Amino acid sequence: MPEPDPEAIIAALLPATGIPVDPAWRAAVAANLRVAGTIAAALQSFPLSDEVEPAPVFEPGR
Amino acid sequence: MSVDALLDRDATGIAAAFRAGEASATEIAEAALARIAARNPVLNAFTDVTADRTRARAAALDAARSHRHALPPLAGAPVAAKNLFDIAGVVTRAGSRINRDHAPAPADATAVARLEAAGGLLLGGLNMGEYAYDFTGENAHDGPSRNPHDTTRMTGGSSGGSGGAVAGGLATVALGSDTNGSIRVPSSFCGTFGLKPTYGRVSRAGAFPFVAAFDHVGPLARSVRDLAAVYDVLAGADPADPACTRRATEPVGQSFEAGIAGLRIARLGGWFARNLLPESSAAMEIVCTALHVQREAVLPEAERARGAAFLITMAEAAELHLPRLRTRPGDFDPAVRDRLIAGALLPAAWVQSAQRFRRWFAARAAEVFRDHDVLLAPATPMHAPRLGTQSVTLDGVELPLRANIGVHTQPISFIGLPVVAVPVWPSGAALPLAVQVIAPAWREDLALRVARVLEREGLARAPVAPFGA
Repeated sequence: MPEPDPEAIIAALLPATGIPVDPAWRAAVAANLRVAGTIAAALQSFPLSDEVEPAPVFEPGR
Repeated sequence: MSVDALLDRDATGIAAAFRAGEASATEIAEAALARIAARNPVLNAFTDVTADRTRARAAALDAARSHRHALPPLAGAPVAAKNLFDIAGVVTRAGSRINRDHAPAPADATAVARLEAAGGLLLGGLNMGEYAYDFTGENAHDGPSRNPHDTTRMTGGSSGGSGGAVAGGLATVALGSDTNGSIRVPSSFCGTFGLKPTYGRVSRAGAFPFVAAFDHVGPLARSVRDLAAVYDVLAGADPADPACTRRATEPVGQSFEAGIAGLRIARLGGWFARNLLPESSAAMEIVCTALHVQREAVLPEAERARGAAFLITMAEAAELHLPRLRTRPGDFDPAVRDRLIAGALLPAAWVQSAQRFRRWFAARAAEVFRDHDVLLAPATPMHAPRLGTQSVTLDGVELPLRANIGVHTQPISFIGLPVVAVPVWPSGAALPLAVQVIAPAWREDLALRVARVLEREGLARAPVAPFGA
């Protein structure tokens, strides 16, 4: 996974969220995204077999 | 003994005193309300006090006793709930400014109703970090809850008022919630026992959500017997919580005294042996020495597990709060808001990677439990930091404090395992620190048995802090 660019993500996706972001908040948002991107890169570098399913919480019939 | 002094007992002890006629429930209620009036201006544990309700409930218990009706197990014990739990007639603020514009809750949360039905004298709602996205107990709107053992220090969070109320002698038992560590962290910083049950064991209905995949509800208390008693009261099916199990309850009210003979207990190495300040290492040594622990076990890839919990938390919480982020972003605590906005921008594949990793990690944990019955790990890397602390140096690296208090709790709640946080006091230390006693899913009994042995030997204890400490 390439190193994500937080500013590029903000520029591309923020308009789609409808969240009005004060320019003064952007640096902190970018810092949080940078941490998330580092974690995501670590997760995606870990080999999981195709058979490993996601683990959300769902029980049919409830 | 004065009624005020009774309040330093655990819930089971106060219930016994009430049953024996040492004090009426009304006297206990008035003493507890007087303590809140005296101490809460310093501790800032309570945000809402339900005095009328407390008095009415006390009068009902006194009437039941005078008519020789059967009394519930915790009759007369003062209790309270983190302010994300619905309390009928009280606005559920969930630590936020925004939610206090809501109408008062029409009914109690399931856990609140069950605790009161068990005889608890509900005193009110407790301070917490905004929307539970917090490990410090600091709140931008209501002010920080303060650690009763040193009021210049954090309670830990997000169930900060819960830790402060129990350690400060304001309530014997407090309900908390734990998504990434929010029961275990304040238990560690405030020196209380805490139980995060197995995911799905205790209903979350009527508790304001944070991360549905990881949200748990449980008690903070002053003794292991109280944890066991409250767990037995809280556990059980509830159709109002879609994740609450229909599995039959497995009461622990007797078994927690069974001792640890034959239990295979190991300390967790790897990730859990790193990122520790000396006081946390000392707490682990106290517990491992007392239990004669020779084994070390490794939960592989715990650091990635922690990261995966971090990502899922960001994404789920962001989606939950999107309507509020769109309309009232300026009314959030800035530290919470900026993480939520970032969470709203995560590529979906990042979150799915975390969810798939979760499945893999749960399977590895199940393998570890084939060879071990109970695992030990630190609850926090440090004892309670001073309020306002922004950074901490762990293993030589300076890190933001807020995000790193839960490095050892997050991998465990990530896969829903039951944990008892056991408070110990390293030699000469004025501040406590907890160790996590971790059991396989649905085996709260094993963690409570280990905790009870440590308590019986005098190593684990949750004293009420002298007021003015």
